[in-house]
Order: sequence, then structure tokens, then C-alpha cells
Amino acid sequence: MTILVSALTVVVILLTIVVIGLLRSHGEMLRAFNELGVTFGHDGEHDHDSATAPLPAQPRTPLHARDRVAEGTGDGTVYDISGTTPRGGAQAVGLQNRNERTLLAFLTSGCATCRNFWDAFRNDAALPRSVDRLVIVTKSNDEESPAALANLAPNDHAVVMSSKAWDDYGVPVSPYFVLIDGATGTIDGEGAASTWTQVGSLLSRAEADTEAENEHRIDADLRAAGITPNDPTLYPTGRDT
Amino acid sequence: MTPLSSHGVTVGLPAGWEGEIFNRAPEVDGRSLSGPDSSGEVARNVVHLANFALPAERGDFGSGAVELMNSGALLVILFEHGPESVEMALFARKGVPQLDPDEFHPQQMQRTLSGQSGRQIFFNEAGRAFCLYVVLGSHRQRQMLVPLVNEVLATLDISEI
Repeated sequence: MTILVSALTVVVILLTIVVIGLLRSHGEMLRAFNELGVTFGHDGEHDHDSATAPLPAQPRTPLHARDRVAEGTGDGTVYDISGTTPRGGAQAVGLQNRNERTLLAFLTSGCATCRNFWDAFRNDAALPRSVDRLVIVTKSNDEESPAALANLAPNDHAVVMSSKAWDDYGVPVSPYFVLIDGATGTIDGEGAASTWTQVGSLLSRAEADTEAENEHRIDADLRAAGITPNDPTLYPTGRDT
Repeated sequence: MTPLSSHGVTVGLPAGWEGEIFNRAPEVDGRSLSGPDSSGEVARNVVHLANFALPAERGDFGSGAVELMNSGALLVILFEHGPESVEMALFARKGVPQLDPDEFHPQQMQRTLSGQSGRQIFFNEAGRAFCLYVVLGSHRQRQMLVPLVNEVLATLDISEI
């Protein structure tokens, strides 16, 4: 009996050591991924610089606004994109002077996290409500495999191979997303995410943030003009009570 | 200008324009063929240029795209015919043409769509035979829209391949 108890104690101690080792290893991996800008779950959010759009300078709205993980180094300008296609042609995507919101997805053929997005896009993943179209941007064919991309590329979204676009938008890591409002010529948000579902929730949150900011700005403008809540001029036809 | 170049065709696109140059190879069971298919159909170089968002899937002559055009929209298509066509009378015009707004007509559309009009011209350049097909989102606005097309056509450079 004593021998059995002793043996079980030794086994429990060994298993405890193994579990602690695994947890430590897992923590180190997560920390390493975070440093690279690749994120998992809700921990993968980062904030942004205040780069501006080409026309009037406007603050860039964060795609998500929590812990900094990866920060784009673009100057906030909206650039049209031109490059090659995985099937050997050339493609240009216009983003300026357009009445559309375009989501740029910067992906590679090799990164494991990007695979989630390639699969989702090939399987007709629905675009978030605030996005009119999706454009996938990879690096040029001196850094990417057109053959590999041809196998990954969805039929119903453009795939442009352009390292210049990665430089123009200061993409720090893949996968990385940049939301462009063509009507205002501004970058509405950008950041990293690990799943398409997460991108959708981040865009919804960014949209809500923008609406809240607009409401706050309108209130401030009205106060500056001497119009306070319940001011009669706000209710020209009489206020319903 | 945003440069776009492939298959011996180079064009400069104004801000906000987009386009694609691709080779449409005949397909059998979803696989592209390097040579002609059983009906003799061969690969064709196709250029699509537009000032609106082109859908990823569209026909050589713009089906799938023309339906999305609003009144200010422009679609420019170059469709290359085989080298045997260069000597044909249809392609006798030499060089990339400039367009006259008054030559556009709703009946020149591949498929008539309300309010739109089109223009189709055949020409040869650098030993290659092309059909140029332009669609205006609004026939009424042709005097304003066609000069924008001519600006783009002026940047078009076609070389031997």
C-alpha cells in the first residue's frame, strides 16, 4: 500500500511539472506572437497612430482600441493599388474618389493565420455591413508564389500582388486589414486579427465608435453655438412631450 | 497616374480608376487550355478599365459590370483578336483611336441597358488586332464623359509580343 501511494505521489508530481512546463511554453509562444503582431481572440487588439488622409487631415479611427500589438507605419494617405495577379495578368484597384468602403486584406500564402482568411473568402464569407467590397493584397511575385496564390485565391474577390501597396500602407504584419472610405479619401481603421469573425466584430465596434464620436462632436458644436439640450430652436414645430 | 502593364499593353489610370489585363484561355472542365479548344477557340488578351469597382467575375465584354454602372460610370474594354485578323479590312484602322461623343449610341451596346450607350471600334497596332468597346453610364452625359475616356486612351501603349 505504501509503495502504491508513493508511486502515485511521484506520478502526480511529474504530471504537475509537465503541466507547468506546457503552460510556460504556451505563454512564451503567445508573447512571441504578440511581439510579431499576430493575435488570438480578444487579446489581439492594438491602437493606431493618428495618420491623416490626403485631403483634410482627419484622425484615423482605430479598428480596435485596446492593447497595442502591431502598428501600421503608413502615412495615412489612400493610395490606388497596382500589381500583378496570381494568374499572370495585371490589376489596378481604384480607392480614391470612390463612393465605396473597401476593406484591404493583406495576406500571404505562407502564414498559418492567413489560411483562416483564404478559406473563409473562398467559402463566400459574408462581408461586414459597413464594407462594400474586399480586395486581397499579397506581396509581389518576387516574394510570393503565384502558383500557391492561384490555389488559395477566391473567385469573387480581387487578388492583387503588390509589395508597393504593403509599403504604401505601412503593413507591419500579416494578416492585416485596412478599411478605406473612398468618399472621404480616408483610412477609417486598420489592424490585425486572427479570424474573419473577429474582423467583423472589430469593424462593428469601430463603426459604433465613429458614430459616438460624431454625436459628441455635434453636441460640442451646438454648445459652442449657444444651443443647449432642450433649446427651443431644436424643436421648430414644438416638442412632443 | 497608376500604371497598369501586362501582355504588351501599358496604360496609365487616373486616380480612382481601376482595371485588369488578363489572358482569357479557353477552358475545359474548369481547366485552362494552353492551346485552342475543340472549337478552335484560342486564348485572348483582354483589358478592362473602369472608374467604378469592377466585379471580380465578369464577361469579356463587360457583362456583370455594365449592370453596376451609374450615370457617371465608364467602362473601357480592349479585346485582342488573333494575328490573322490584322490584315482584315475590319481592323484596317491604324493606332489607338480617340473617340467622338457624337458617335456613341445606345444601339451600340452589346446588350441594351436603359440610359447607357456604347461605341465599338476595331483597329490594329504593333501588328496586333483589337476591338475597343466603351460603355458610358449615361448617354446624356456623353459630352462630359467621353473626354475622360480619351484621356485614358491617350496613355495606352501597345507593343509587339
